[in-house]
Amino acid sequence: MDLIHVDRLNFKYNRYILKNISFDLTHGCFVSLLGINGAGKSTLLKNLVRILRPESGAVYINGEDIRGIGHKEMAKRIAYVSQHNIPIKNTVYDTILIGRLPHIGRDATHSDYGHVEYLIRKLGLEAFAMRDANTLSGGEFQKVILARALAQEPKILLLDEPTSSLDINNQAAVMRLVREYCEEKRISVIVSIHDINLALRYSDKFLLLKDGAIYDYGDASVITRQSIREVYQLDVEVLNHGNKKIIILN
Amino acid sequence: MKYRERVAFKRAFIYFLCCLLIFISILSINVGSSGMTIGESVLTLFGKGSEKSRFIVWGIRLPRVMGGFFVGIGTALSGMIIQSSLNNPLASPSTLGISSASALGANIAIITLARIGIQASSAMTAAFAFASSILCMLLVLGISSLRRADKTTVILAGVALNSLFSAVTIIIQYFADETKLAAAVAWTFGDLGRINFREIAIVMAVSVVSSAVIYLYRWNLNAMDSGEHTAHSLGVNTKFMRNLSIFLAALNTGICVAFVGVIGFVGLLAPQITKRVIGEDKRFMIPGTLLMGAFLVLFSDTLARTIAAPLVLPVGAITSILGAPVFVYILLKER
Repeated sequence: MDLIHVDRLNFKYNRYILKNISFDLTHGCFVSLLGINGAGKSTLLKNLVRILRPESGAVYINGEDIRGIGHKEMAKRIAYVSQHNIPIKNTVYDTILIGRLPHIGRDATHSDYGHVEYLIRKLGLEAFAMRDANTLSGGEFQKVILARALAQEPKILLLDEPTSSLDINNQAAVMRLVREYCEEKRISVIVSIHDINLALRYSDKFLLLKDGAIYDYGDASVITRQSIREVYQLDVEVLNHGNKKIIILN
Repeated sequence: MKYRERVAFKRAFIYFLCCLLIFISILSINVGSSGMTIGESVLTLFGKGSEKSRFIVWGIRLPRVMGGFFVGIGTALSGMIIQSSLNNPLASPSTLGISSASALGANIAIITLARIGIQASSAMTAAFAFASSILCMLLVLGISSLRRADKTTVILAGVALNSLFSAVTIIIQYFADETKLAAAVAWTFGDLGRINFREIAIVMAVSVVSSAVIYLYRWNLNAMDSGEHTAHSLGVNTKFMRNLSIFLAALNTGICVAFVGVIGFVGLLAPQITKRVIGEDKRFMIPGTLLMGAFLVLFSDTLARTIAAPLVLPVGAITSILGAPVFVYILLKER
C-alpha cells in the first residue's frame, strides 16, 4: 500500500489554488515539488498536513483518511517544516525537545531526552546544543528546525523551501542531511524547492506544478527542456552528468 | 551535556524569586507610618501584638500584600499568554489597551449603572471589566490577523485603542458625582489599598486556577511560541489553545483591573525579564513569570509607600516608570 494517496484534491481561497491534485507516494521516497511562485507548492504541503482544509478531495495515509486522525497521532505520522520559522530564546536542546511533543504525556521522559541527544549527535549539533536558537546562523538554525521535525519520528517529512535563505554550502548540507537521515529511517520526504539542480541531485521523484495543477509527476525523466519551459517559462539545456541530470540556463 | 546544569540554574532562579518574594512581603507588611518594627509586624501576623497593630497588619497591610501578590500573578500571566499567542514581545494588557478597556468596563459598572439606580457589586464590576477586556482582546486579535499587520502595527493599534478607551472613561467620569469619581479615578492609576479579603479570594481563585490550567498546557505553549503552523504540525489544537489563551488573559486582566485598577507594564515586564534570564521554556518560564509579576507589584507598591511617605503614590505610576524604558528597549531591539 502507498504511504500517501492524494485523491482529486481541490483547494481555493478566492480562486482555485489547487486543481484536481492526485498522486501517490511510497515509503522512503524523496519527492521534490517544483514550480514557480504561486504554483501552489506551499498550499499543497499545508493541505497534506491539514493546516488548510481542501475544498474537495482527500488525503490518505496508509489508507486512512487524514480527516479522521487525531492531532497528536497526525503529528506522529507527518512532520512539517514551515518556510518561516521563529527563532525563540530557547537552547537548541530545548528547541529539539519540543519536537517530542506528540510523544510526551505529562512530561518528557528519559526516552525523549535520549532521542534529542541522539539527533544532536546524528546531525552534528553538539557544538551549539546549549546555545540559544535565536543566536544561530541561518544554516545552523535550519538544521535545528529539521532536528525538531525529525524528533517527531515521522513517517513523512514535508519541507517548505528549506534552502531558500541559505548559502550554497548550507543548501547542499541541509539537502544531504535530509536525504541521508530519511533514507536510513525510511522516511518519505516531500520538499518544495526552487533550485532544480539541487532537486535533481537528491530526489527520487519530481512533482511539477503549474497553475495549481500537476503538470507531470515521475522520476528524473520528467525533467526535460520542454517541461521546464512549460512550468517555468525558461529556456534551459538538460545535460547528463554521470548518472544525474543537470540543467543549464540558456 | 550541560543540560542538567542549565535546568538546575532555572530551578535555582525560581527558588531565588521565592526567597525574594518572602523578603519583599515581610518588608511590605512592615512599611508604613505606624513605626512598627519588623519583629512586631511578624509577631502580629501570628496573632500577637496590640489591638492597634493587629488592625494595621491584618486590616490594612496584609490585604494589600495578598492583593498585590495575586494581582501580580494574574497580570503577569495575562502578559505572558498574550505575548505567546501573538508572538509579540511588546504585547501586554497595558500596551494593547486591554487594561484600559477593563477600566472602562469597571467605570461603566460603577458610574453609569449608578446613574440608573443600580449599585454595582464587586462581582458585577468584575464582570463588566472582563466583558470589556475580552472585547478588546478580540479586536486586537482581529487587527493582528490582518495580512499586513506586523508586530509594530499591533502595538500602534493598541496605542489607538488605549486612547479611545481612556477618552470614553474620562467622558463617563465627567458625569460622575464626587464620591464615584474618586473611586473611578483610582482605577486609572492602580491602588492596592482598596482591595478587601472577599475580592482577594476572587483574584486568588481566578489567578491560581488559570495558572494551573496554563501550566497543564506548558508543552503546547512551547510549541505555540514557534508559530501557529509549527504548533499545528506538532499536534497542538491551535484553535483551542488560542481561544483558551484569549479567555484566560482577558479574565485575569478584567478581574485584576476591576479590583485594583490599571497596574501598567507588569504584564510586559514580568515575562520579558524572566525570559531573558531563564529562556522561553514554559516549564520554567510560567512559574518564573508568575513569581516575577508578584514581586514587581509588591516591590513597586512598597516603593510607592516609602519614597514620598507619608504620602502613598499610585502603584501603577511606579510600575509604568519601571516598565516604559523596558518597552522602549524591546521596541528598539526586536525587529
